[in-house]
Amino acid sequence: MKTRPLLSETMAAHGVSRRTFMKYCATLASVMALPPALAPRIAQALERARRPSVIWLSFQECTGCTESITRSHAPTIEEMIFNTISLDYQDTLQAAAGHQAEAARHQAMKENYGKYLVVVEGSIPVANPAYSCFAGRSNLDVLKETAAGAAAIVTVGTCAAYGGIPHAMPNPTGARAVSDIITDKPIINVPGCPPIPVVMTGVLAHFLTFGVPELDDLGRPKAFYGDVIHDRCYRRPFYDKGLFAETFDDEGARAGWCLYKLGCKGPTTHSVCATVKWNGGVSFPIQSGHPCLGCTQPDFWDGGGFYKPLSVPTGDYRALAAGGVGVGAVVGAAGALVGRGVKAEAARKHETVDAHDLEKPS
Amino acid sequence: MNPAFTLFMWARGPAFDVALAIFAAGITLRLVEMVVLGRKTDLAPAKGHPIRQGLATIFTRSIPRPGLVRFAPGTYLGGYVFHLGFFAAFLLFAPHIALIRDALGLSWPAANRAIVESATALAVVAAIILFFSRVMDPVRRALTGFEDYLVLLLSVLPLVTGYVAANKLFGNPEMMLAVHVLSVDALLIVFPFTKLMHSVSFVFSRYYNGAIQGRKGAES
Ligand code: SF4
Repeated sequence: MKTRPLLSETMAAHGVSRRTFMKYCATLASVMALPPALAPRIAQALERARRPSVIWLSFQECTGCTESITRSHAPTIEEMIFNTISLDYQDTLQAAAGHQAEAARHQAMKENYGKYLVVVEGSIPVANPAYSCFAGRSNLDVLKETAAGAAAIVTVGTCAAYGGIPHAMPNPTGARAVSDIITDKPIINVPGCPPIPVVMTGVLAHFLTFGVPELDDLGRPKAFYGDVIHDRCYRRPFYDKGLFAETFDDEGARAGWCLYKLGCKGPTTHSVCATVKWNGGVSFPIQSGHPCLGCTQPDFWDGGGFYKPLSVPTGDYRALAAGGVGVGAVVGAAGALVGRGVKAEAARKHETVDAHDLEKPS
Repeated sequence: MNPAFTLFMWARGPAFDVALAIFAAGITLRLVEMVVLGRKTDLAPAKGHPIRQGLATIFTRSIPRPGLVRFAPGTYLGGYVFHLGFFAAFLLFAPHIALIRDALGLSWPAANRAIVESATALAVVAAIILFFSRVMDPVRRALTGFEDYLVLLLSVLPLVTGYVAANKLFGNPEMMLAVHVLSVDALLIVFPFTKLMHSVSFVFSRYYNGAIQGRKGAES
């Protein structure tokens, strides 16, 4: 195995000052919800870490996650961390293609067997593997082969974590999440469509410094996915006061009121969007006036509609209720008529009895 | 993949559809039955004003008779607080208004959280008082059957589960919402076939009571 430079060496080569680096570690500590006292430990661990080999597999995806991370406003400290890992295989970013690229992957696997990190972007078509292949090999094969020697797997984006849009009904490719296929390796899910860049790098930093972070029951690091957006949303006071935008251009929308009635999924969506925000902390969807789509949640595409409030039923309930009224009216009328018939019949059969009848011997 | 989400989508999807269809069919069935069965025509000349008194009784029965509140305060005050609290929580909470707007196109302003949550809490406390007033009193205990306890429980569950969901008291928010919606689905299904039907049929029973007494020239 070739000797990999330490992170500190690479940083020095990139002209990153110690001060900037310490600031970054403090930010990471706060983003990961760790006590600030741990920042020097993060720094220490990061400085000592050898550039880990990362194999980035792109399956059924739109490349939005790669875009999100690489197009974050440059040059970010996140990008710096990206430069400090050894991205040995990333078929979107690397120059090599086809068999040449495959050779690079095999070499990275061989050199770092048992130690490399696999990042997966995109879901895996299982019903018909031909939907997504590279170098003539199915995603399923490549995933299984690459995962075998991995120290851990990080799924980037909702497609890799939970199937995402390819998995949306009716799921024509039989798309599956990584965790449906690989069950014997630690998997850290970093969902989002796409995930926030700093969350991605924060997870990598956590992995480098403290190992696999504490995960929730959907495999997401609790530090980034512990709270729902609704509990951190700056529009929350309007929700609590009962003030809502009813349309996208009414007074309420202009006044920045809560977007619940426009379909906001913030109350059930776990993410740090409202606190870390996007584009270097500039804004996030709700701040720009659009309800949260719930993109860090499994099957968010099948949640009944992006603009349907969470409290609104998803089925064709009006038609069914109308049918119910019709059936009820017919059955009710029939029942009542039968009742009347029984009553009339009883009246008809009723024999009057008088005192003389009672005297008669029976 | 995410059982909480699947359950929530089932609760607000197919389960709600079926529950609402049963609710609509059941209520219509019972209303039509009441109207078609009707009542026997009373051929005796009326001494009072049956129709007027029947209509008036629909409303006057909402006001307790003098002395009765002091006689059974738990039942009366508990009853008022439960009904008002339940309807305030149901009709003034924004997510419910969003649902009504989707279903009927009607909308009104929502109340703030303090009002909705206080109404919910008061309604739950009232329901507990009503429960104890049934259990403690030997006569009422003897008159109370399984259906009464079931109905009381099913009417309180949406309030409790709604409070839990709105405040995210236990773990997964999707699961809490799923449980809340399921409790409403259950309430919708049993509604037409239990004493919960009183919330519709009270109009008929009060009218008939009033009209019968009105015909006799008696008070109602
Ligand atoms: S905009 Fe969405 S997340 Fe924010 S308070 Fe309203 S419902 Fe919650």
